[in-house]
Amino acid sequence: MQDDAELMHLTASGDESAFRTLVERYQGEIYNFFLRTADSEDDAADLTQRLFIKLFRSARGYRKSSSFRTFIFSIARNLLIDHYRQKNRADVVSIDEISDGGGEFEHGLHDDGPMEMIEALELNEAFVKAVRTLPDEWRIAMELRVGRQMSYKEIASVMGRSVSSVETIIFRARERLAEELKRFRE
Amino acid sequence: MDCERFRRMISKKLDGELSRDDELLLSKHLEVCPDCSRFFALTEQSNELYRGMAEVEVPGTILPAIIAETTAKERTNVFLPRWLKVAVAAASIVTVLAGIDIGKRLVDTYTSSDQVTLQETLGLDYLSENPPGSLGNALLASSGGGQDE
Repeated sequence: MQDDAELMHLTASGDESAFRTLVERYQGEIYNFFLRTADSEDDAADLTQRLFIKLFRSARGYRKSSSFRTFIFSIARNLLIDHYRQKNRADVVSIDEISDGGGEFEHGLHDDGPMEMIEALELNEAFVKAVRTLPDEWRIAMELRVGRQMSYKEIASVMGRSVSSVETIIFRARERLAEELKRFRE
Repeated sequence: MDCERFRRMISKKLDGELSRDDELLLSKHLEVCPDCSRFFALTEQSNELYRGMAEVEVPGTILPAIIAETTAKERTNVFLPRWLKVAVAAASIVTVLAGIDIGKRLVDTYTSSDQVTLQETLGLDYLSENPPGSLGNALLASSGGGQDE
C-alpha cells in the first residue's frame, strides 16, 4: 500500500490515479466526520467534496511534517468552522432544529424485549441529540477522540490547541453528555 | 475531596491517556466516592453509545463529483509552474508587440510606393474588389480600367 505522503507527491505531479486512491482511502472517515459534526447529510456531502478539492489544490505545497491524517482533519476542521460561520449558527442549537441525520445506531444496547428495545431506541435518540447540542468545538473534539480514535496530541494538532486544552474540552463534553444521560434516566 | 480532579482522570482513563500512578489514585477514590463512581458509569455508557453510532456509507455521487472537479481545467491552473506561466504571458506580449511593429513597417514601406500595392506584395490581390481574372475585372478592362494586361 502506497504511503499517503507519496500519493500527495504523485498527485502534485499530475497522477490522477494517486489522487483517486487518496479520496477512496479517506472519503469514508471524512464523510462520517462531517455527518456527525455538520447539520445535514447534504452539508456533509458538500463539505466532503470541498475538502478533497482543497486537498488536491494543496498537493503541490504539501510537506510531510505531521501525519497525513492530522493534516486532512485540520482541513476538515477549518472547513467546518467556516461552514458554521457561514450558517451563522448559534454555538448551541435548539433540539427541535436538529435532524437525526448521521445518528443512526448499528444496534440497540438491549435486545431482550420490546420495552427494552423502545427504551434503548429512545436513549440512542436522546444521546444523538445531546451530542448535536454540544458547542461546536466540543463536538469536533469528541468526534475526533471517540469517533476517529485520535490521541489528545493529534487532536491538539488538528484543532490548533494545546493538549491540556483538548483534555479539558473533552472532559467538559463528557460532563455534559453524562448530565443528559442522567436526566434521561430520571 | 477534589472530585473534579478525579473526574478529569476518569475522562483521561476512558481515552487511555491516564498514567499508571493516576490510575491507582483514581481507583482508590472510586471506592469511597459514589458520585464519581456514578459519573464513571455514565461517561462509560456515553462512550459506548457514541461508538454505537453507525458509520454511514459514502454516497456514490461524491467520488465522481470530486474527480470531475479536479480534472482538466483544475490541472491547467494547478500544475503549470509559476515561472512557466510568467514566461508564456511575456512571450505572448512580445509576439503581439512584434506583430504590430512589423505591420506598421510594411504599411509604411508599401503605402509610400506608387508602383506596387501592399495587397500585391503580400500576394493578397485576389482580395481586391475586382481581382485579376474576375468578371468584374474583365468588364473594367473592356472599359479601360482593369488590372489585367
